[in-house]
Amino acid sequence: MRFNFGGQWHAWGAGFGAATATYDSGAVGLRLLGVAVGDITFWDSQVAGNQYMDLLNDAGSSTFYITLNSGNPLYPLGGLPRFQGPDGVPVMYAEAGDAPRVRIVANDAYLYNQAGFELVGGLQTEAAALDTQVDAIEATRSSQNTTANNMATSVANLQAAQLRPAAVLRPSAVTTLTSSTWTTILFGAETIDTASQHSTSSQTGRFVCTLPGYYLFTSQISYAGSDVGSRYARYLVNGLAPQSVSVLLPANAISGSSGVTVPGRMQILALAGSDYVELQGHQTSGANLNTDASSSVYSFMSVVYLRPL
Amino acid sequence: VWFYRLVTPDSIEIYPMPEAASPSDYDRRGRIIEELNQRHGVPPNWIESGEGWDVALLEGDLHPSLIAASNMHPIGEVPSGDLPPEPPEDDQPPVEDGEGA
Repeated sequence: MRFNFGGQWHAWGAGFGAATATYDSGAVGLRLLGVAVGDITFWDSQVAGNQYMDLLNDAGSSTFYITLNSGNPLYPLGGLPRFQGPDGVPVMYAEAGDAPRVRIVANDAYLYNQAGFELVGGLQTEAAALDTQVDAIEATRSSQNTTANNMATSVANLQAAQLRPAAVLRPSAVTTLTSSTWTTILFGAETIDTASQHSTSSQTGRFVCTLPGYYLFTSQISYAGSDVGSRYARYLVNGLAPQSVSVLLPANAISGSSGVTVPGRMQILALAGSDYVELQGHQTSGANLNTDASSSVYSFMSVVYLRPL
Repeated sequence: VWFYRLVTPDSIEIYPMPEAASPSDYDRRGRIIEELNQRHGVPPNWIESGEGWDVALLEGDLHPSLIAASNMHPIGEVPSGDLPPEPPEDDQPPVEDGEGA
């Protein structure tokens, strides 16, 4: 709270005397400050001490001195205009460029309550200390929450790992492979899918990792009959990284009438969350070639979880 | 949704592919793949030629890491795969009359 000074009937700097006139002691009122028109500064002590720099003039502007009135009709000539002192200061010592300084009391000093200010100040200090403690507690709690969440995730992963997810994917229809183009084999059915890592309705060619870890893959691709070209199989991670090499059978090993089944390699893949694996076939018959999807001859991909990463 | 995904020695190119349900659709898809292979200079024996080439058809949606690493081409850049129309019979070159005919 700022207290209000000046603007009262007795608040003159000096009604007479030159700007450089000296002044004597003992008088009150008119000869307090010794200059007709001038800049008045305010201090925390009658002698020496520190000047108050944080004042607000009657227009509400910040200043470190107050100019005695020289023409404002609101105040008498030489009068001390209204202004506000620094926050919480009801008493100051006014100086007109030289000693002596004169004690000036705020018009509303009756509002001042020393004990109250000290109490508020003390409470503010305590509140700031409590804020600091609360911040520290919240930081500790946040860290503990993170730790707890990590532990919960670890426990969930361990529980899931104990169940050792497994899946066996099989086709519900043939997949047509364009010649000389790796093509994802579609699996519209499944024999096993313990951890919902495969969909029979959307993106059916994918085994999608929901539990990070090492997985063992085995598979086969059953091609329809053709005795031209070669047949391959491979795993593909996230559509880009072909895994290991596929199996190749030369044309002369293929019976045109009965087709051929190419075993995919047994392979361990390290998968993180959202990684997916596709089984791809490749054939070089020079024409489109289907896979088999009968009940007795069909492609499949088997997956079993081995251990956490 | 299917995509043609080509890995060249220098880049990864991805084109959306038309749906295929019938043998003629798959024939058309094969012509599109052949034209895209030619466009990007894929060697005929790319699968035996070693590292650097890989032609594949992938089922979408594609993995974000693959999309980030690839040049994605819009459908407008995909060849139609349509066969040229049969020339009308009237355009057949005239058969020259033989001597004594």
